[in-house]
Amino acid sequence: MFAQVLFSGFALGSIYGLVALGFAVVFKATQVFNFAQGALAVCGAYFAVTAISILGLPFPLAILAMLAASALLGVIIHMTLIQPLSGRSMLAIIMVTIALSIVIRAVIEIIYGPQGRVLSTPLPTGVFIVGDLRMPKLHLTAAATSWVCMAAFGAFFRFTRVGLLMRATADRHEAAMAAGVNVNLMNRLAWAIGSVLAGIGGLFLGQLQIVSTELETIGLLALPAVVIGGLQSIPGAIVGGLLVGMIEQFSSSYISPKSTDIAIYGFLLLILLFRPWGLLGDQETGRV
Amino acid sequence: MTEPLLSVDSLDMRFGGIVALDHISLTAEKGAITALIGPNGAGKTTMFNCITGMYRPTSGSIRFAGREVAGRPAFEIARAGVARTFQNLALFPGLTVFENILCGAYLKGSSGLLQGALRSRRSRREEHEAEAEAWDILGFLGMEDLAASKPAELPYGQQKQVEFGRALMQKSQLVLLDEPMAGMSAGEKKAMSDLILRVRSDMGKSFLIVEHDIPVVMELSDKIVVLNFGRKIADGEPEAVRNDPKVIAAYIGGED
Repeated sequence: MFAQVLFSGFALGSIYGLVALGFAVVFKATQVFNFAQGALAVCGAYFAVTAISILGLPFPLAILAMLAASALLGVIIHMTLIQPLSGRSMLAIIMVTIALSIVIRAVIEIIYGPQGRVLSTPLPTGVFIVGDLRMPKLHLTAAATSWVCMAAFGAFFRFTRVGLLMRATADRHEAAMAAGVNVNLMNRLAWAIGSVLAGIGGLFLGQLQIVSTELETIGLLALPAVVIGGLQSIPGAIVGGLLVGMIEQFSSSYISPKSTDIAIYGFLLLILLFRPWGLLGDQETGRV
Repeated sequence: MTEPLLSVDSLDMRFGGIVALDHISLTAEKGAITALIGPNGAGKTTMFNCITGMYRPTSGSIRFAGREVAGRPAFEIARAGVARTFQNLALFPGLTVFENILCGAYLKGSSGLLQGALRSRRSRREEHEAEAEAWDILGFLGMEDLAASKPAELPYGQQKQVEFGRALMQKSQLVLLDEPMAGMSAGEKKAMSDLILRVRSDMGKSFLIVEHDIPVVMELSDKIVVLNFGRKIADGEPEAVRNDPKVIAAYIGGED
């Protein structure tokens, strides 16, 4: 049983890590603690439902459309809500993101109705069996895609010119402006990336379960993930996501399925008490 | 007659009821080192922030290289050819020294965001050129062996040099230095003066400098503008400014 739980913890944790990475990119760039990250994951799942089931687009095209819609959503949120409030207190901006998540949920329920939708994709659905270990192909695909995305964005930030300028902008706005960087454009790009990563996570969560606004709660596991990993740390978001996935699956299997939230948020509390800058965060700047 | 590289005309900057800059006019000529001095609170950094687009001036004109730039966003003014350093250092703490300097290179990179992200052949070539240039700047500053360090690992004087290097990387015509010698020893100040003069002769850049060390300013500058409480009280060659009774009363006299 241990290996089985480890596997599902790893697969789900990879998805949480992906959503958390999106959260961390936005937080580093714009210092916005985005409570709508879960809602953005839900949007990604519904974009996929729309493109695949309602519009009937071929799968690759549907994925492209879903990615483009997620990116556009991030850009619109930044332009209409975040940029006009820049310089305001963190509390004001947090309230806006909470309001945004509630509005997104309501809009989705008006458009798609309150019942969940089944997301049917041509992704492989069988099971790999190795000894006692059963590995659903969907979990494997989700984990593999998550890691490819995380590696791709890691390489983007590390090796490309735009990635360098985004890191610079996140580090010090006024210095970036003085060096000729269009800071608003970089921040908009960060929101697009954050929304796309949440959307991909939502796509897989919707595949593993059913697409409904309830996915928001799962998407919001990105929040404990980034705080556990370290708010300012990109690798921390991924490690935090993995840990949250593991804690969830182990507590669910060894204690009770009802105990997962207690275990996750209990661990979060321990981190806040004893290491408030997170596992991989910077003690100077990353204290929550 | 040719237009000065930078000409500020009747510039006002008010914050609520406070008049930070009161109808200031000044010019910085091409190839010259112009100094902006004055007691604390005179409005020197405010003037820098207006020129570089960090603040939007209340009224007045700022012309740079023949273009009106007052009220334009900071990144556009930087791209037009104005680089600056900050009074309290503004480096990118998470980036290496090399990356800090490299960031100055991309403001004019003609291939756009998408090409940069997709690493087209043209953007790769631009990146190679920029990296070669960043090494040149590091060599010019004598800091090649520190390329992989983080700014916080360097002493203050060298951090100032990194910031200066980023400004040089911007291929700007005019460099604004906000207290480049603050907190430096006499030897470091001499090295910084020499560096500024070397940059002017080797790279043909012009400078506008805020600095408190009056002897250094007198030595280095072609022209000095003196502000006091947001007003201009003197403007001229170092010798004339040094002997101006208003300046002596407001500032130099107070120091001695």
